[in-house]
Amino acid sequence: MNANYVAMIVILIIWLGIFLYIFRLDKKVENLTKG
Amino acid sequence: MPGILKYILLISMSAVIILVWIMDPPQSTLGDISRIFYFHVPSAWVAVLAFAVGMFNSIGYLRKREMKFDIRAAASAELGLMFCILATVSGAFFAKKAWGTYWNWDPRQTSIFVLMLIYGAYLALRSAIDSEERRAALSAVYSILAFITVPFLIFVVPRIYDSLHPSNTVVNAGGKIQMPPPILTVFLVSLVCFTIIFFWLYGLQSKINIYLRNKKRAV
Amino acid sequence: MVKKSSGFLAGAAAVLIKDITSEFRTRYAINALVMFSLVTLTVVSIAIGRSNLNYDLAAAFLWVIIFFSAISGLGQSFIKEEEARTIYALRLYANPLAVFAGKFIFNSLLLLFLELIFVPLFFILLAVECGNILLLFLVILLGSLGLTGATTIIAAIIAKASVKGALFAVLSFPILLPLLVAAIGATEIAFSGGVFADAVRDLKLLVSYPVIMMTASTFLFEFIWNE
Repeated sequence: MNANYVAMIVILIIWLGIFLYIFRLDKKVENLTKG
Repeated sequence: MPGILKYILLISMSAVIILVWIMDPPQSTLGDISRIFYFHVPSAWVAVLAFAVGMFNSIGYLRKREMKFDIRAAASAELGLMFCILATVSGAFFAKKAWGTYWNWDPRQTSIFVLMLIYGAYLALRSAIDSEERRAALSAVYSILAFITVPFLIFVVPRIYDSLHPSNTVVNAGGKIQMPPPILTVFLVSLVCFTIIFFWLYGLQSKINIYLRNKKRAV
Repeated sequence: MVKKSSGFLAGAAAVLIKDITSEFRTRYAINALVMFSLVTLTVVSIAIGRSNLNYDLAAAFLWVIIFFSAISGLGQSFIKEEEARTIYALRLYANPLAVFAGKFIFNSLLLLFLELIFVPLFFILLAVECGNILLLFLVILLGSLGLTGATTIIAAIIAKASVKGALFAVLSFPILLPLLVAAIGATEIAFSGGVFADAVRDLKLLVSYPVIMMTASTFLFEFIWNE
């Protein structure tokens, strides 16, 4: 497999991790500030 | 932040990441390392943007004396430092590959380094003051003072060394956009995505700290 | 209006005279400044031994020593008011801008006095030759004004912080960097015997920097002073 694809998948996974983290944080903050 | 924007961000940033690795590298002579351009330049842009956001909040605090401005200024400084470090580190890797050394006081490196020093000094000042209102006012003054020196820096820094930085990748001397359209499109989408991520995080961090502060005061 | 402006001048003069008198009694700041510059100069001088310095290195040494001496001495100007609790009296009786002007003039005089001692010693110990003394004189004068123009307000910020430590240097350096680069550049030109026209770019910055810093300080100082 091409090294570029490996890099792509690694960065994609990192990005999805970051996104999920922020997304859940956003949900938490919304609940906090509402209630 | 509206829900739909989150999903647009998710999809477009993922698309950017995939395209960055599928397309030809933006500069063929440098090869794969030049792909870093799609992430490095937006990080640097966000670091500078955060500095400006911090200064506007500082002015807002000094005018209105509302603590939310100070909390926002702090949030943008913390995020700015983070993106500044990202830009510096990614730039250093690029420099190693392209010019042979991680660090050579290229004008861009110098300016981003000074920006990092300013963020560091600002956060050090904040941690050194106990009283909340005093911290807000003093750090606001410092942030404005630091912003005022930026024009001098722009004037003085290019003379330290001749630039090796590829400055004509985005815009050339005549102000014309030079990149081929596909590269430009991916780059601009990446830029917008980074900006959205910054403002999202900035909003969250401010909200959390404002909430915590109100809770503390209520107790 | 006339009365107010004369009040401002009188206030600034009073603060200046008060600081000079108290400095003559304790000689704290001037001792710190002179000793610090002397020690650093000795270290540099011993380290380079008999080898000759390049113009650029000599110019850098000159300004690095001046910068750190200024940092070691000028930070005290507001801290001592805060520690002696005299700041409350000053706040009651004096116009904030008058206090700032008085402190700025005092710090500038202090730094210029230091340079009067230090710069000749620098030439003697490091065996540097200066091609254009007049230009060097101008650069040092303007550079010092810029240095005190920026550090006076930072000293006022530091005085309010609960942990002072090395904060003064940390806060000053990023703000002073453009000034230092320009001053080092112009000093190098002066050492190598260049004419004024060569240094115009640097001199422009050296003139505009203190002006802009002072203007910003007059707006911002009140926010610190009333804190």
